Amino acid sequence: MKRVCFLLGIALGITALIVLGIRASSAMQRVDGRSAAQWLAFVEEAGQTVSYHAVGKAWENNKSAQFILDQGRAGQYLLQTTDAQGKSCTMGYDGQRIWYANKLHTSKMVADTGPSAILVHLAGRIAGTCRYAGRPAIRLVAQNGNTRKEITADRQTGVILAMNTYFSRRRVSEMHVEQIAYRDVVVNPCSLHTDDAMTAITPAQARAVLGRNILHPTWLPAGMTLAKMYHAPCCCDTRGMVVLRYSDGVSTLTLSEMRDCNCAMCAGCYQANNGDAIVETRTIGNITVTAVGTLDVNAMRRILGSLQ
Amino acid sequence: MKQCPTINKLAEYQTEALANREQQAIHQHITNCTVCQRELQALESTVQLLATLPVPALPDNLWAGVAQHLPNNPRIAFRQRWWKALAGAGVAAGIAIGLLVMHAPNARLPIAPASASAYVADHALLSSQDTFADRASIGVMLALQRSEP
Repeated sequence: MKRVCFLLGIALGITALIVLGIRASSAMQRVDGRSAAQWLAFVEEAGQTVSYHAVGKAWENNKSAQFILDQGRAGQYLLQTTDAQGKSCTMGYDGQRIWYANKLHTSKMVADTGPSAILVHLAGRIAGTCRYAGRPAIRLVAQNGNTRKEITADRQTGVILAMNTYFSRRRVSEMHVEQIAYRDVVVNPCSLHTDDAMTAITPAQARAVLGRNILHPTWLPAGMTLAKMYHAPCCCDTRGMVVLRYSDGVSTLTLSEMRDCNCAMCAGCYQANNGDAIVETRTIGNITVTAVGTLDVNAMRRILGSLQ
Repeated sequence: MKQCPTINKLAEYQTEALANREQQAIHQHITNCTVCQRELQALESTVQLLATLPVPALPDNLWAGVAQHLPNNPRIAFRQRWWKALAGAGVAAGIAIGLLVMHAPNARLPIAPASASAYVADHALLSSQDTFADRASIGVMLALQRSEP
């Protein structure tokens, strides 16, 4: 008993020291004169400024597909995925609209999105350097709450060459570029015509939709901010619903608020089919709020509980 | 008791160190035995004489000398303590790990009903705007999205 305890204690101690040592050394590490935070900011900037054509593979919820990505300047892109069964999806951003359309005749467009991304200041660490898709690369780890991203980025351009996303310590998606060619890319405007587009709205317009003030969470995880507010059609009410999008750059949250709605799903907390999001519904007065977020259950419940 | 007790038994009787029954037996014997009465008186006078002797002062280096003959004792005491402390820490660590595993977020959540898929797809599409969004994987997910009935 004594020996087992002794050996267990020694093993735990050594493991803790190794982990702490690795984390401390990697947190202090600089590559090419940049710290982890500076690298992440560089990668963010590259997403808005570098133009390229890339081919690679993506994996999500045990399904994989090939992808072709044309990334233009100002964050515009056109992306096509095709899996082994021929199921495909085209999605893109033309500077004003984001959209997707698949072979199952499903499509959606979000109009008037404005600037593509929220620039955030993420905490992270440098995990090392390597070569990836024929390019010198740096490996970065960014984590907020339950979501962790392991990013491999081009050391010269900052373009993301590979990314593993973990939610609650479980890998939920993966993408890696196999070939990349830096060149000018022109992304044509979205030609999709759809009646159920989401459109950006003001708080006053949102009040008109709901017939009352929007329900805002009075508590949010650190770093999470309201990025945009949209109006979306609803199948049971011609007034539609108000959609609030929150993000901290790694974790995301969408609140859909509906008035006198009877199409919302049953109240409760669920795991989305793809496993990387939590879905929860709450009704306050005549407003039903459906939240979808890549946050842990406790955070989701606290957010919904703080709605006012 | 017919036979006289030994001198050691008498000494123990005199200091009341014997069990009750033996103490009474010797007491009865002494009341009828003059030899033992004399021996007892001699013992009592010796004890009284010893009590009059002065108590010698303890030498200053007494503990040092005793400690010299008790090697490693502090270590033995430490050994007896540390493994208990380590075992306690191990149990605490085990409980902590257990609690972490039990409270692993989203471990036992039911799968969302089909009616939630449109919300999840909208969330994914909106999330694709984030710089660190994995758009290719979002595309894999959206390829399977069906229109609402």
